Amino acid sequence: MVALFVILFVAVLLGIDLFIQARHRKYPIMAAAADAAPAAGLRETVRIPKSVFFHPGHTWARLQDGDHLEVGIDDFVQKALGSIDGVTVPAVGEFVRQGDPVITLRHDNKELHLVAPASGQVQSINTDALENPQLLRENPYREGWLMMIKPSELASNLGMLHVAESAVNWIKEEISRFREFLNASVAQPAIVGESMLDGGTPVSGALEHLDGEHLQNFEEQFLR
Amino acid sequence: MSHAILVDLTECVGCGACRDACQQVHKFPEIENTKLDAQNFTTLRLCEDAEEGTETYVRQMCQHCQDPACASVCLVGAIEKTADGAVTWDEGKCIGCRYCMLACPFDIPKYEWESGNPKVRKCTMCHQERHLAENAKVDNEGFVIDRNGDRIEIDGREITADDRDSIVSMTTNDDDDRATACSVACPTAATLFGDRDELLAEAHARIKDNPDDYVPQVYGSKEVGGTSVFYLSNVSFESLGFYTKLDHEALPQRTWNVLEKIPDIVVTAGVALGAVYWITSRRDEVRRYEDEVKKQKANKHS
Amino acid sequence: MKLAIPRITFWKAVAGIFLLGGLVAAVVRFGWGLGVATNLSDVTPWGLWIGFDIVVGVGLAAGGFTLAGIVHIFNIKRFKPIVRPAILTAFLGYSLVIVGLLFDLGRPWFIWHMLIYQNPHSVLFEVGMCVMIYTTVLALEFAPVVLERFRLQKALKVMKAITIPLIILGILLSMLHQSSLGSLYLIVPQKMHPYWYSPMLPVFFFISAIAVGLGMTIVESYLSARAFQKTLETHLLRDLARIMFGVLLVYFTMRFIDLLRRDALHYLVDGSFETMMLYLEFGLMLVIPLLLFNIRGFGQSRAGLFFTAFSVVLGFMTNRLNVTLTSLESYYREMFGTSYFPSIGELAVTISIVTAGFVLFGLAVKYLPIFPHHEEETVIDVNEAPERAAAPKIDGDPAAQLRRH
Ligand code: SF4
Ligand code: SF4
Repeated sequence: MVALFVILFVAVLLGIDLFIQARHRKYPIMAAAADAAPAAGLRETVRIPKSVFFHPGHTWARLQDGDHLEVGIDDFVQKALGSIDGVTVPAVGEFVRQGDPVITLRHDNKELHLVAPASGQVQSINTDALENPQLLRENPYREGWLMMIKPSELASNLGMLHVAESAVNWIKEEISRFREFLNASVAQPAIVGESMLDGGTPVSGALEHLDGEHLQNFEEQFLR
Repeated sequence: MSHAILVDLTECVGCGACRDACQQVHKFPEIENTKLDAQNFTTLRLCEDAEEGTETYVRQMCQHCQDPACASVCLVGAIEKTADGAVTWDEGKCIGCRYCMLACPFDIPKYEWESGNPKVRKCTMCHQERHLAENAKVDNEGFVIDRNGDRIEIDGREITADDRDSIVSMTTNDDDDRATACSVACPTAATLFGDRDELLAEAHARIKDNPDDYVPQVYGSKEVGGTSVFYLSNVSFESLGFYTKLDHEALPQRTWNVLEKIPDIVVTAGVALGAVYWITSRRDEVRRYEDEVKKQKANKHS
Repeated sequence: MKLAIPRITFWKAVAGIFLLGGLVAAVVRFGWGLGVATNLSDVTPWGLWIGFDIVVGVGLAAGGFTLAGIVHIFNIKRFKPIVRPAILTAFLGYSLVIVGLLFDLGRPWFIWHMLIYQNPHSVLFEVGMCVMIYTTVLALEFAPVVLERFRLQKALKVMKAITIPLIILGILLSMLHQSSLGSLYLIVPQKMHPYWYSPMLPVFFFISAIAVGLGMTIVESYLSARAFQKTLETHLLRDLARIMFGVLLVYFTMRFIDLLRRDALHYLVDGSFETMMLYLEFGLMLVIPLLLFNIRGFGQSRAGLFFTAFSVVLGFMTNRLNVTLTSLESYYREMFGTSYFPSIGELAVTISIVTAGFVLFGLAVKYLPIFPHHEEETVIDVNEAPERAAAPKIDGDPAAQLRRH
């Protein structure tokens, strides 16, 4: 009897909670379904952590423990690419220079090359993320970090990078530019498709439809 | 010497002297009870069987098991099977978890639910009372002291010389031996107190000598591995409401079967976990190293 | 977030009422004693407080050792972000179990007697010692979070060095007391319904604790995602759910074989209350979660995972309460013609303890670095990015028009 009562009690509380949630959504029946959508799935978003420095080539760097830089790719390029099959980064011990294309993202048989956001020696690499590029999709700023470098000319390197409000403004600008870039590439019917129906051009996975030449253009215009 | 109580239900006339004596010796209110509780260590209940036309008075009290479940489960060891045969409870230790109440196969221990400092209560086989006569000394305030000079307490009460004398007289039988108050009070010798082995032999002898007067079972001799309270009856124990579905194996053995394995489990599991940790972290290291070697090779080639 | 405010306020009010009720009940319990505050009796010495606050409570806190083991011992590092919330829940859980125990003990001020009058033959002694030591271990496992918060680097280094031994100790202690909660009932074979009395009880308790530990982790992570926008990645939770189902399948296979071997299967058609409760247990813990998890598109989503795991948690509660209370009901009815149902006071205390758990968890998540991405970040809606002047006409090479600067 007690067991039954406890279970019912908990179930009733859960029911009340669902009811309240649903009322706030104004679509009672859709409540559960809406929850089911991935958090950012319906709304396309790009995340910009406050403490991360962005290279205009869409890689980032974060100071760690005072004397290390954590490096990765940003949310924008990650979303634009849609999915990532493989990542390559320099080996531990190698020296990278700010602006050198040292990170390679693979998708099908296309490749994108991203630059190092700062100069320095590679101290360690994130083998988890290299083995499981899905981590870059989950959170490119945390689990999806790629390498740790020991910076050699931090002060002058930082001048190039965007941070905080500057990064937010820059990303907004980039999104607009990217949209134009896509519209301009509209000559290719495959990209337009359903994406144009609602007026906006979604960013997510847009690059999946670009072929070699346009990808080349993207790399030149956005990743340098 | 291990003591026991033998209750021959065929001899019981239902006078209630045992119950009254129990209440008196423990200073409980004297009522005609049917249920055990914190102030009733023994009950007397009439069981009528209309079909058979039998009337049987049944006494119930703690069985003072040989291997008591209540003592085995008590986490602070407040309950103890004494060499004397009685199963006793130590107020100074009990934390009031009431596991003993749950564990007792006869549902004997009772609790002072209304008290702010509750005790577990049950029949004590007059354990302290029977040993009171050994302590003749009294301190200058008139309280009985033991050999170490500490005042003797029963149920938190200090005992005066008068108290002692009345308790001793209630727990001394005709042969001038110490016995439980109930057995001393019983006018028909339906409740006997004595050496466990002798009483058990007596019980079996009674069945053997008068097979028509008894069902062939000494209740309490085998139940849960044997107890120190035996019953004889001329109607089946089941019909009298006795707990007849009990195993003949002592209950504490069941938990001990598990508990005794703990050291082995801890060692085995500890070593296993350590080994798994060593292997997995080693594998990680090796992989990282190999990755780097591979990468360096690849870089050399390109 | 705007939408969330009224909802949280509602639950805050409810939590306030629950806590207040608990307070009143506590005053009654400690002022007037167990007899007045509870429906416990000489016949039914253990009730809701043991059944729920302790046996269910310890089980639900099993996520701590399960995840610590997965991540640190089996070295499956991708679950690392979940370890902290799991250890936090475990620590809170155990602390609240001890609070619950203080309510239930007749003389709580003597609880330390356990340390000096040890009875190694008592399962309860073993449980008590393990719970006490393990709560300390959990506090130590959780300490780095607090040290991090206050930037105590030296202490952090010390803690890092003893992490692995601590975790192994924690797992061993959990193995012992999670299973021993089942062993508690080994001593009353004749009182329990054959569905639930089994010499295998300790094993069953241990395995199901692992499953529900994983389930609770999923549930917590969903709830904190809702309340604090602090959350874990869905695919991690999905993997956890897969492990959970693996464990559950092992568990139920063993349960079934056990019922078969003890010849208890024939009761399954007797239509009794116990049978219904057994079906409820199996349904909530295995059947419904399996069905939910396999609904296309829903089962693998965050909400789907939540309902799946929540059902397992409910099923687990049913199981523990069945063992502790339901299985004894027929014995009490037959022997004494009574049954037990908790008093308002008992319910109020239990509810407020659970509420306190929620509140403390919330506070900890708010003020301590529990969830991995607590870094502040700006989220830009792609569609809100400023629309530039009309797209340039496309003639010639489209890309040529977009040269940067
Ligand atoms: S009858 Fe119960 S209380 Fe008495 S000794 Fe046996 S187990 Fe203990
Ligand atoms: S209630 Fe007291 S005597 Fe009984 S088991 Fe608990 S601590 Fe021991």
